[in-house]
Amino acid sequence: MRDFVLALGIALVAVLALVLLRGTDAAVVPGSEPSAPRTDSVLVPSQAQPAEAQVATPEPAARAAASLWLLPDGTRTAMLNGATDAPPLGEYWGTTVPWSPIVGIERNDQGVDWYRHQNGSYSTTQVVWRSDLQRHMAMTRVAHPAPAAAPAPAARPDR
Amino acid sequence: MRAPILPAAFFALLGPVAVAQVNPFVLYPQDPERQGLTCTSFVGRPDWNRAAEAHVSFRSDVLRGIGDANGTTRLFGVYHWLADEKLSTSETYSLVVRSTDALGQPSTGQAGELLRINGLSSPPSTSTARGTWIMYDGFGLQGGLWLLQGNGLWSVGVDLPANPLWPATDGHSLFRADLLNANTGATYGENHRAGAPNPTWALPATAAPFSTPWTYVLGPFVTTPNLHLGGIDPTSNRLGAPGASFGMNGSYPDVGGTPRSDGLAVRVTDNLAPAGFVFLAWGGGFGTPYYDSQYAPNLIGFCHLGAPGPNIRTVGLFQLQNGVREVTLRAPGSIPPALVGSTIVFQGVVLDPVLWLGNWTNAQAARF
Repeated sequence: MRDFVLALGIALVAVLALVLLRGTDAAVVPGSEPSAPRTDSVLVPSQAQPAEAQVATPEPAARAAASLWLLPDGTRTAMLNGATDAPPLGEYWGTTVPWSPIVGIERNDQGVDWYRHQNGSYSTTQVVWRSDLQRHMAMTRVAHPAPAAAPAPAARPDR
Repeated sequence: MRAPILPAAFFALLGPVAVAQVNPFVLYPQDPERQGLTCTSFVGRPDWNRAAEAHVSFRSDVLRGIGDANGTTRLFGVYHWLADEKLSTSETYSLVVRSTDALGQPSTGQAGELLRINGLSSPPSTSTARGTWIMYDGFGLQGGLWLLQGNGLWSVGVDLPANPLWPATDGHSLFRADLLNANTGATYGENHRAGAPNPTWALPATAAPFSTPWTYVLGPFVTTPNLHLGGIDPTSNRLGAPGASFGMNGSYPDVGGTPRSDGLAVRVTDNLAPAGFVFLAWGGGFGTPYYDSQYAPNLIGFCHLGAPGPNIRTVGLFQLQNGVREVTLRAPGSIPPALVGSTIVFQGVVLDPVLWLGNWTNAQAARF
């Protein structure tokens, strides 16, 4: 174990030296630059259907901020389905699908509103009961269409 | 942001962060985030079209340290590929995290639930065709599920309601890769050695649990880097594409030489430090979890390498590119059959050159 810890320490120093030798540019991960939120303007999707989340009634500043959803491009929009304090969309958009702007709001047959994105992805916020915390919390949910159709189901029972 | 070492209340004060991502930990032959899933056998449900929970559990004899938050575990959501036979009707489901026994069998009933979230559904669609959604159901980095050590092992599951229309005209199912002994006629799927245990479980609503011989594209979101071992078997087309098979083949490679003599590869992925430096090591088995306080607080997680004795060897240092790096450890034919019956465990540290923060990956055993 001691050898491993020593080796790890050497590696830490080596990496630090490498980063320093390569200059500051080497330490900047593409796409990881701080995305300072721009002016908090609520997006109005072009094809939005009537939705409670778009109601623009005056409310206390703190409550208004809590109901705005931080998007990966730094802008904010209204949270859906009555959610507040939902996690930023960027946490769950994934790294392999480029960010795509919101183009509308659609409601599924379960009564849940979703943002539709230009690339065919969907995202939403939803208040759920957390059994571990014994209270309601907002979730952030994303659905990307898969690049290929699913294979055919098994033609016989699975057991 | 790597959150584990401070309480959630602290992060509530920080507000939005610049780099905030999660890693889905999925045991599957290919990387669902970065590769086409040519290895998929079928889409399937845990108990045909009856109501049941589909669970993936991570046995402690092959995997440890997933979501390690310095001794506890933090899960930040659930990732799965939702196959829908008719996209225009939304599918409903629940998320369930359960405690398990040492063999990975989930505890049943409400008492076995560490978390349940009901009332989730798939997005709207006007298409009546079959299709697939890659679902990211996120709790948030400030709202993760904390699992104390006392909870022991755990499994992550999706609870599917009964759907008599599946698979004919509608219904929710999961992508799966069948084990060689599944007897389902699958051309593609897992490629483990003989004797590998079933890695997933079905918890029917009205019957006893049973294990299922396949892996799912299903797993928790964590902020720890992922380490997966892969088997390299050039005689097999179970992957449907060239490369190493990073599901069951990694934990159960066939090196017996009659006739297979698999090679071994390792893949490290990390969306949080996509250009991170990986320091990789192996040991002759799992050891007592070890926290290296001399690097605290710049090193998160526990070392699980160790037994027998201080038998830890370094493998090397390499850098992630766009969040992933795959390295061949041993070419096919180069692992001696004399190792049959032995175990080697691999684990690494990913050093984030931006935040100057290290994080242990999970540890995974190759059980020859």
